[in-house]
Amino acid sequence: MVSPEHFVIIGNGAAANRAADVLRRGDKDARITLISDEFFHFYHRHRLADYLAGTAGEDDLLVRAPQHYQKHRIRLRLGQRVTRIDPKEKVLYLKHMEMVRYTRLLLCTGGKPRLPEIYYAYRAHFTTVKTLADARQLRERLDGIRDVVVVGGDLVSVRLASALVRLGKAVTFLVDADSFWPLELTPERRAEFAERLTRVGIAVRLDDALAHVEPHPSGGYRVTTRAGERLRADMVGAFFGLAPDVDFLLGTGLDIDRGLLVNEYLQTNLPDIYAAGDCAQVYNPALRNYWVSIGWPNAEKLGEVAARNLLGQVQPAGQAPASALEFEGIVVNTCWWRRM
Amino acid sequence: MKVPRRPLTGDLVVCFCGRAGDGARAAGRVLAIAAAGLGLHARHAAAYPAEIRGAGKTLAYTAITREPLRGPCERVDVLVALSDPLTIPELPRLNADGLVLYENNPPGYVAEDMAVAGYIAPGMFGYGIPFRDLAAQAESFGRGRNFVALGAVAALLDLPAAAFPPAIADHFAGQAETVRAAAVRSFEMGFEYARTRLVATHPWRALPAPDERPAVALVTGAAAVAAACAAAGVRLVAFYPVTPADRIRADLERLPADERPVLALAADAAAAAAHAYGAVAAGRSAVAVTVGSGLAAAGPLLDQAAAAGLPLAVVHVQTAGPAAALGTSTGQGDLLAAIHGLSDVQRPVLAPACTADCFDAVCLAVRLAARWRTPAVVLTDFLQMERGETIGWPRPLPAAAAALAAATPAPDEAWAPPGTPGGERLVSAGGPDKRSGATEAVASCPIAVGLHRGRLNALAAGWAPPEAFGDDGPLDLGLVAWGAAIEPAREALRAAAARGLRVGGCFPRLVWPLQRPVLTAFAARCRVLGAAELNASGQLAGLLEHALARPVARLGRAGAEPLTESELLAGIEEALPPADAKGKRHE
Amino acid sequence: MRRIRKKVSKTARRTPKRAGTASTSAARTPPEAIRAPKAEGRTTAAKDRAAGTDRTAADAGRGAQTAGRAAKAAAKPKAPPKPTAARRPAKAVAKKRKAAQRARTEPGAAPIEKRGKAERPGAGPKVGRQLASPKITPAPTSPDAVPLESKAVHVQPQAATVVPPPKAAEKTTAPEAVPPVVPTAAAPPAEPVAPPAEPPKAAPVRTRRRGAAVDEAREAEALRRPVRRRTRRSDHPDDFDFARLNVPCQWACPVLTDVPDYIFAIAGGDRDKSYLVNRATNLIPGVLGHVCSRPCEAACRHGDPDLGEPVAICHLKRVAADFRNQDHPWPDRLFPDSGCTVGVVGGGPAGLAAAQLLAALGHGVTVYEAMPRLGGMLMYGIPVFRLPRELVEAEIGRLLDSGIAVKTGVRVGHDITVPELLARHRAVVLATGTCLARGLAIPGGDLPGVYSGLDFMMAVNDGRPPAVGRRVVTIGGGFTAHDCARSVLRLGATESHLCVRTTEEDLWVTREEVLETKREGVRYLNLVSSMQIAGADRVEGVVFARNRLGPVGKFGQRTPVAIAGSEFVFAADTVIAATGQYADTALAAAALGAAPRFDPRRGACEVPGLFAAGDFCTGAATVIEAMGHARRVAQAVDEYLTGARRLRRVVRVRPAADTPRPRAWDFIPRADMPMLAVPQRLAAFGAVVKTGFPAPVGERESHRCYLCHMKYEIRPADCIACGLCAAVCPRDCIGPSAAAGPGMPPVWTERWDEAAAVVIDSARCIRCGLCLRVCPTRCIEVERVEIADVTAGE
Repeated sequence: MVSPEHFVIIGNGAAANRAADVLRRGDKDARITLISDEFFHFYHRHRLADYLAGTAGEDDLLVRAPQHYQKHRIRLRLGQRVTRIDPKEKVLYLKHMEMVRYTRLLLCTGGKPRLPEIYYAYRAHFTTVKTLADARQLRERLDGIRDVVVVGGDLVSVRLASALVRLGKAVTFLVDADSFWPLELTPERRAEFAERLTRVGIAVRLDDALAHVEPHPSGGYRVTTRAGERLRADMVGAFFGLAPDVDFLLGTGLDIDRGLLVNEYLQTNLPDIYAAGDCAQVYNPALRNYWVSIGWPNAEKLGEVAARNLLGQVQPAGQAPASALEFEGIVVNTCWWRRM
Repeated sequence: MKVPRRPLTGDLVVCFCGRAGDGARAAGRVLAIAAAGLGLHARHAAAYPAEIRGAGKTLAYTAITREPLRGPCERVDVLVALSDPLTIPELPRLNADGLVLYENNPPGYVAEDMAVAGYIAPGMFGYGIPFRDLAAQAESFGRGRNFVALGAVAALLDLPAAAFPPAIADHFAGQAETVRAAAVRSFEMGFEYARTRLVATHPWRALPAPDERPAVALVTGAAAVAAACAAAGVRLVAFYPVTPADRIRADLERLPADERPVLALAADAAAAAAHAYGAVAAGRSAVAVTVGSGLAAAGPLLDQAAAAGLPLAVVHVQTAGPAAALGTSTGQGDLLAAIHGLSDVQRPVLAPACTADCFDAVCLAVRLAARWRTPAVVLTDFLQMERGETIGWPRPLPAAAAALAAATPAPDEAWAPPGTPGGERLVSAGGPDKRSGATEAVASCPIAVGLHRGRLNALAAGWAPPEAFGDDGPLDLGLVAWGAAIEPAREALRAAAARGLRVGGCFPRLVWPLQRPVLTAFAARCRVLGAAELNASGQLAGLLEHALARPVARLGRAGAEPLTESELLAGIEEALPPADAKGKRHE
Repeated sequence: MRRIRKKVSKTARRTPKRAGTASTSAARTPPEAIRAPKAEGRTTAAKDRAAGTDRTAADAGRGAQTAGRAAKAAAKPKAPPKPTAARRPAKAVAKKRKAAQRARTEPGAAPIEKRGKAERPGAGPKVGRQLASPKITPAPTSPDAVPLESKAVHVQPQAATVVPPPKAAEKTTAPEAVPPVVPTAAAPPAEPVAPPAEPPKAAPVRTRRRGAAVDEAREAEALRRPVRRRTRRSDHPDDFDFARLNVPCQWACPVLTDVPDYIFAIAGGDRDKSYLVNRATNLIPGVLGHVCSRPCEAACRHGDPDLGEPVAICHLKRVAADFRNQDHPWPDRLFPDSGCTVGVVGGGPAGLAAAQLLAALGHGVTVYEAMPRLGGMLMYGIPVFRLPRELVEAEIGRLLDSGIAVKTGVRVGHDITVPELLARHRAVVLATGTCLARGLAIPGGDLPGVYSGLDFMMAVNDGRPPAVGRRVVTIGGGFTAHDCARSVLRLGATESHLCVRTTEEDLWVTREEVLETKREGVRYLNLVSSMQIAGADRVEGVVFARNRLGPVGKFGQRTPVAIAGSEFVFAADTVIAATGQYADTALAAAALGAAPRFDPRRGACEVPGLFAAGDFCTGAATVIEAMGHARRVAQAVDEYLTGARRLRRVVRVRPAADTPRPRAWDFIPRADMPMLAVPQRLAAFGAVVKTGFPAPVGERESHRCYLCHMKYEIRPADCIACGLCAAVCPRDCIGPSAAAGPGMPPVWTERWDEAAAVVIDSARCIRCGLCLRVCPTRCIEVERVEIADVTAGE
């Protein structure tokens, strides 16, 4: 007898995959579909810098063998984008105008590169690396890149800048108060951070920020900093962290602030729709604030909790202590998300 | 750090799938023309069933490669879905990391699993492209979807865009300039769309064209037949103007006037044969083109020619169905009809496997007919006529044909056809013999048949040995294939051999009379003998069983869709003798 | 591929027929009742509308059902036209349009009211229009109830000239003599004897229905075509329905600006015409081009799911204003001087809109304005970086040309009272807007350093900006709050925080506004409610509580619910509370003893001659809404003064050849408004942020408009159901429908045996014109539909 349940999970990251596994364990007969607009199988995002540096191949990025999905009858729809949700009819509309019905929906859309509005005008000139596709694209361009300017700053940017330096590129990092989003860097921390970057071989412009970027007539870009310095760059990397990728959900009736507002059971305000991972925004009484948990272990945990709740169990996400992540000696609190 | 490129081995195959009218064939053909223009080897073919007239499904395959072409286009690297529901069943043919291009802005929403995108397996690359919208932007009407798709294919495979406008012009030669311009614009829209949005994420490209351009040209089977007629010195070609035959006629009309045979349009197939008969009776070399059941209509004239020893050559386009109008694609159902017709007189039958073969077969048939004073039949099909392949061009007259010409008896052996008043009318292969004036009495019927048999046996004995696949050792399975089945059979055997199976093949181009010594020797090496052909009864298999007195496995089926490598491979595995405990199949 | 028609579900919702509205429908068998009117209903109706008097001769001959109906109708005494009750409920409405409709039932109301009155007996269009409703007995033009068919012969000379009269007569009279249920062509002709050349066919009933009826219908269509291809004017609800559903931008506009028309004028390079089309209803297009809240863009079909982004309608308004060739004088009044005078209190958008319309209607108007300059919020509320003041002055100055007297610096209630005004004028319109700020009713709300948003902006705009600190917190999410948050950055604040109770999605302001605000450096603090202003003797911070989103409120926005125990302090040295503003009703109350209750729709109250318009009456709204309301109130005033409704709202339908735009234009991306770079903006307070489209960009943007006022309709009689139109259609808006009729949403069907006709779903159609261009029988007809207010005598 075929179970009438059709769990649809939007996303193919840590939260989505963990949730799919838990769902399969909990319901042997349900249909489970993962929809992701990326073409690649579930991969380690944090190794993209290694991939770019050439120390890891594409296969090394894979988290698990693709056969896993066949074995567990999890249907993967890769390279497909959900454009709309009709929660009343319980239908997803995909970019190619296909309708997919679900009985329960889990949103694990993760994040997309955040770009502060002040830099909107230059968005066409920025390079961001969030997905393997971005990395691939950059990898193909690498030969033609000599000078790199990095603005913003997050974990990815540091890894990436280091990788680029190892590849012999000249990297200039603009560090100011807003750099290390979501963390607001105090001047002391900033200095410490700058020093570490310098040690790796990155040229740091402390307390300076981007003022203007324009394409250089002879290729590359001309970057002007707030301090008035003019830099030439073949690539301008913009790394301002991730913003929840929830734009397509606007207007569906879901509660959305920065991310999807969910209760402690990761349930959105609409029935049968849950959210987990980077895109969920949960109120944390201890912080007296909403928070988004960023990072792989958090995502996996939330994915698991959401899946259990989808299966009808009742499990709160728990008031996880603000998980911290250490990188090159600096502790970055990945929970303080709403400080912008 | 470069993206991987293909093909590493074999051909790169692009398949356009759509409804009749979607322009799948045009896109496939233009791609092949463009690839040929770039110096690549290319082949284009379209498969569609009889219901083409009711907006049936069209599959247009185009294979591109740097090496000379190998086999049929079964595994597909790029699938272009011009119609989603028709393309969904084709997805299993796509390679594991293949590429699917589909419409992502259809006019309305479709239900779950009614879109191609839903079936794209992980690992494949499915790119949604708004074909209709881009086409509408290109020419405000949206009919150039096929060329939009072609543009996207070109961009994703990294084929230079500049090669395509000339190819489009070539394809639309003789049509209005606006049509060509709209197609080019549509192509450019698709190319630009894919170049700017999709190329960056696409992980593989086609190999670039080699610097050295092979001396090849894209030629269709029909063009090869037409050129062969001219090369073989045929003076008259007669037709009943019906679709497949018309392709040959169109190509004949493109020949330079001084090479072009006289074209006779007859009221039916029998009349066409009669035209040709009249010409050969008058000592001119002539070919009749027949289609489907037209061969039966031409039968009495062929028998007459056999009895009279007139070199009447017939190019026959086989169709899958019982009538000319059905199954316009392909089929191998006319072998027995070609050999026997309505009488006890047999005719030599040649069956080409590829476009180059088409040329050779027609040249050989005309020469063979002259040499052995017999009618001869070339069995082709519509797919072969339509299919374009890059082959060395212009193609020289095959050596065997030259040899036949050299061996053709001098005109003094000329025969007068029966019924010539007094038998005094002199004809020879090259025309009425004006020098010798020799006469010969009209043979009586039994003698004529006997003589004819003898001629056929002599013909077969002198014929070059057929193409063989595999080594000379003992085989678990030997496969005999003819005509259009040869290419998939060869690929299937190649695949089987790659799996470690001991298999071999024998692919005669002269299907009848059988080259008995060769076939007997081949069969003797095989534990199991099979025959691959696209007909229900196994016509060659039956002939072989009779001739070799041993069972022959039938690896074929009826239908208008070409045989595929994988089904033959499956057939081979099924027909193989069971393996023993050690996994050995042979003693 | 089976297309999934989303609208199939409508089959269920759709009531098969207006049951019981007319006896004829009851008489028919159910399938007939469903199918018959569809088969020709729409065309017939439309034709009738056009013909005015009725259907042409041959028309009545098509099809037995029509004949039967017509005969019955003719036989019956004049049925009174069925008024509003007969109206079909609107079905194919997108959600947002439904909302829009709810919010503004007003424009449609007028014609409905009028329908029942039968003011102009015998007048063509109106009576003809009533015929259109399939259920309603046709009301003959003359009282002696001439049978419809013969009347057509007499009344329609054009038709008679096109076709030989005997033939026409034969076709038309045949059904008349036939009993309604048994259709046959064999019936002897009545009046003029049929020529022997065309003997009546003795065809069996079936053949007659399938074959002859179609032939006749074709001929009938051919006959009627020239008749139909005429401009007509209609106030039938079906036509209003069409406009409402299908010209969403115009219907969304509170003043019903003819959006497609003015955009089309720009596309044609005629920016002067475009400006004038705008000015006819919205009076100050240049100003609105800067600050309009753009309800039209939210309704724009180009912004529907899968169709991209809405046309930049508002910016195009500005293009027309910026690049027009001349300053156009205001046109003459519509009516001669009435001798009445009206006092309008308040010189803001509402007051001026009311004054302009009243002046145009022939009344003497005096505007009383408390401030030294006219414009109200345009002058004192909106910051100059959003709206240059010279533009306001120029357009208002031009507006005054229409014959409006102005008294500035007169504070009503202070310098002069409302009763005094009532004594001085026949009517008084209060349009003082909402000029009182709702303060922060929380502890500490009166600390130094706390301003109200309205006062703050008025002070800034008056050239006396208050001092602001480094870190400013603005509470509120409306236009004023955004203006304040942006202004303080120009006044020296280094940090500007905008504190919103819900989320950005729920803000009333446009997305563009939010983006620009953020780009200037304003930071949003969402989901917070202010609980208290912290500080000893001056502001030190705000105590906020975090909110979660509660249920959906009255206007579709989410209500915030504070989370217990979530309070936190947010440091600030200046707090601006832009939490709303309200009308100074004391103005009227003081004079009249008790605050009068104004009818929110017509603006009237229990005091004769006293009206209220704009925000003063409706509460704080947008410029365009205030103007729309004021125009309605002005009409009510006019009715009060003259006792007659002198402006009539109609749907004007004109024939058109084709959509004059190639399909490729549908793919032009929306143009971004060029903006001043942020440093330049912050450097000078008056630097206008939006620099405006250059003319070529504007023209290109104007190409994007689908021109939804084009109405595509398939004439069923000529349609051969070849399917070409559906094949080229880029949307799934053409197909066989089980229902077809004027204003009737399609009921898609896959089965031809239940299809009444191939129809175009106008609500989905994007007017690309591809269908028209491929149609082999040219059976697709194009018309242009526009809503207009015309003088009653016009």
